[in-house]
Amino acid sequence: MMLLGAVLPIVFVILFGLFFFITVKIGKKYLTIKITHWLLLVYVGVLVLASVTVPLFAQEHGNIKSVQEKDDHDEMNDPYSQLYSKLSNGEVAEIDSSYLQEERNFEHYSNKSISIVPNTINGPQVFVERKEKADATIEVAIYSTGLVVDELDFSSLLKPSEVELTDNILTINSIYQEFNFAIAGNGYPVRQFTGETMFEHHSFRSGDSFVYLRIPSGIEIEGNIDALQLIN
Amino acid sequence: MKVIECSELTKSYNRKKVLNQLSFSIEENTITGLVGRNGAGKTTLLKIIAGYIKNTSGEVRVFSERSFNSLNVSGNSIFVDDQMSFPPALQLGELLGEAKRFYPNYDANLAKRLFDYFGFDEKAYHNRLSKGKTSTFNMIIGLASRCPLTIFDEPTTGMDEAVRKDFYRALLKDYIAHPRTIIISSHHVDEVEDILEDVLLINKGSKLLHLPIAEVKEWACGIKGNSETVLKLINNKEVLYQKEVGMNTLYAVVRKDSSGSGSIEEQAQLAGLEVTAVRSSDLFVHLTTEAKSKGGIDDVFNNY
Amino acid sequence: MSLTTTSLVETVKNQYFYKLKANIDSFSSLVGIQSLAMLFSLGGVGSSGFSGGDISVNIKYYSSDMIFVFTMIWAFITAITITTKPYRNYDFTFVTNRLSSSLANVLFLGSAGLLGAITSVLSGNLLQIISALFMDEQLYHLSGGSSHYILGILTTFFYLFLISSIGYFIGTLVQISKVFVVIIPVLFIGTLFFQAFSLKEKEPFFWNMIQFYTTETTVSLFILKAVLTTVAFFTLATSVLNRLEVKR
Repeated sequence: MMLLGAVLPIVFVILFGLFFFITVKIGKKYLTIKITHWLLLVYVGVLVLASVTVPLFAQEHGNIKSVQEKDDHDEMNDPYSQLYSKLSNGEVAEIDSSYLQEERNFEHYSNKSISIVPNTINGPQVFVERKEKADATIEVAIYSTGLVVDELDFSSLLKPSEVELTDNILTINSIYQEFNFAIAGNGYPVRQFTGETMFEHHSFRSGDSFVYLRIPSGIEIEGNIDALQLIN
Repeated sequence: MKVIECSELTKSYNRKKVLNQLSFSIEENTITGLVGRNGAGKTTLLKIIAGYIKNTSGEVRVFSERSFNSLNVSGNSIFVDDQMSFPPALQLGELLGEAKRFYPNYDANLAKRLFDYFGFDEKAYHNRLSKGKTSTFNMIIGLASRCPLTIFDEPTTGMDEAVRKDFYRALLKDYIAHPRTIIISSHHVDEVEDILEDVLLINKGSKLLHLPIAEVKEWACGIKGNSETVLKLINNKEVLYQKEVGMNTLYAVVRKDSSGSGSIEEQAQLAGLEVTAVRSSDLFVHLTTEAKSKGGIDDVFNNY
Repeated sequence: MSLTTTSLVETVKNQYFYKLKANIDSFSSLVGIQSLAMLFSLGGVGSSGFSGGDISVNIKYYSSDMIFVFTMIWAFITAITITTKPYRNYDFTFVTNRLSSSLANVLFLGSAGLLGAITSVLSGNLLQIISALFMDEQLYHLSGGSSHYILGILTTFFYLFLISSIGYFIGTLVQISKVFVVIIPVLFIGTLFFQAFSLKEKEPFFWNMIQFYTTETTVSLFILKAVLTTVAFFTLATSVLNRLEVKR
């Protein structure tokens, strides 16, 4: 299929080049080339050119891949619920690494207490796990369900939430992001047979983000504790 | 061989008979003039022969085939008139090319020479031609196609005098070089007369005459002289036309009749009357004029 | 002048090439109508979006749907056009009978349909490039792929051929009697209204007819349906035209 995809445009170009050549060559002999002929040739030429070059314009390169989204609306199995339940149970090891956006550590933390300030309006859900050791390292892991629109995975475009530590204040903020996508799909009669839908049943994964903190033992957590979810 | 055979051919539109029980046949390689008054059914007859329209009853055979929907009839005949419709998208040069493709006997060289002679531009468009030019172009297609059956329906419509003469001359020359069956319908009998071999005169959908042109000229004669003498002479003859041409002077056209005591010409000459030949065109007018108005248009004004 | 036997195949071939030239203007109208459809499609043929938390997503969908619809209309009109008197008369200027004229018409509509299908499918790409160049959006392909070109051209072709056969048939009916100019729209709108008012939970007849083709997801079955219908309409039209006189 991949080979076919690579070869077909070339075949098309050659065929249409031949078509163009033959039309002009034979055309001169048997018919008077008129404006309509030129119009048609130019139009077809532009279309072929567009078809060959359209992959260059489409932002398919990079990390945007097609993912097969399961069309089950099982609340327990969708990425958000899975991620949430695993995080809230502290089963970090079981989380698929593709959900992990960023990991960072604040080492040599010497304060006795830490004040965690999450943005409670739009910000990510914050989970806090107490480590058993007092290694003076605050581990931060940012997870995201990813941004998937109609089987296109845009997760790599998402910026992870900002986690900053100044003195003993850890602020967690999300970055407001706006995306304008243009999605080009197959035209009508093709969709009839591929079963694609373009205007109904859109599948979204809305890029929900979670911050998972591991705080060394012995450091007291201050601040708005209600906004945090503590893992036992 | 008979190219066209019609027997009891009838065509009616909404119960009105345009052609009525028409029977005739046309031999191969002849030029026949189809003459008749306006509305006599000339065009209808020609279109039936060309296979354009279907006869209501009777039979028409062209090349021994029913002409309607016959590919052989279409391939071996061409119907030329000033209504010939050509796609507006094609230039005159291209139209000639199309004719070449369709007609196996097409003479591209002749077409080109006629085309140039009449001053056509290959890049011009048919629908922008003047009436006379349209007829001229159609005529070129008709001639160059060299169809075994070539039908010209009023081919000279809109042509000027010089072009008409050229056309008839071209037609005759090409006919002699490449004999074929040609039918020309025309109002201008005088003009075509010289090239015709046969004449088919129809009136109101019926055949009046179908004769070689030489016989047409001998068909009737005109007698002029003292009214009483003329009237006496033509008393029991077939009078086609009579008219007062002066004080007590009468002109009459009488069908020649060799039966009985001497020909009418001799009798007239014996009676001291002037005998003249009747022009074919006049004869056709006389033949196709309603009996009640034998005096022609003058009657309309004479008897208020 | 010796008689020649005229072969049907040769005549149809000649008529076909003649028609390609004679009806060249229908191809410029194809370019025009597709350009217009592209213009209309520039705003996207659909859009959706969501905003939740700190993310806002706007999506515009581009596809050649509108171009397909416009091309269908074009094919329908082209088919009707070539049944009209002037177009039939062009054929009879040269060698033809009614059968060869109809066969050449079918071939012409087939070629027009093929060209319409190719341009309609490919024009979706031009639409994407224009939107990528002139709109401030990031363009992404949803599936697509070259193999879909073949599927697209094939199925679009059969749709176009189908609708031209319907247009050809309707045009033919109108040529027999102008009464059909009134009857056909009345029938069409009539059934829509009648069923809308008949209070039965039934979908309109024409809608059912359309769905017969549009809900078929197997390519081969769709082609079978389309071909059978197309053949039926063309055969009907040809047998009707076979009795029509040339009047000019």
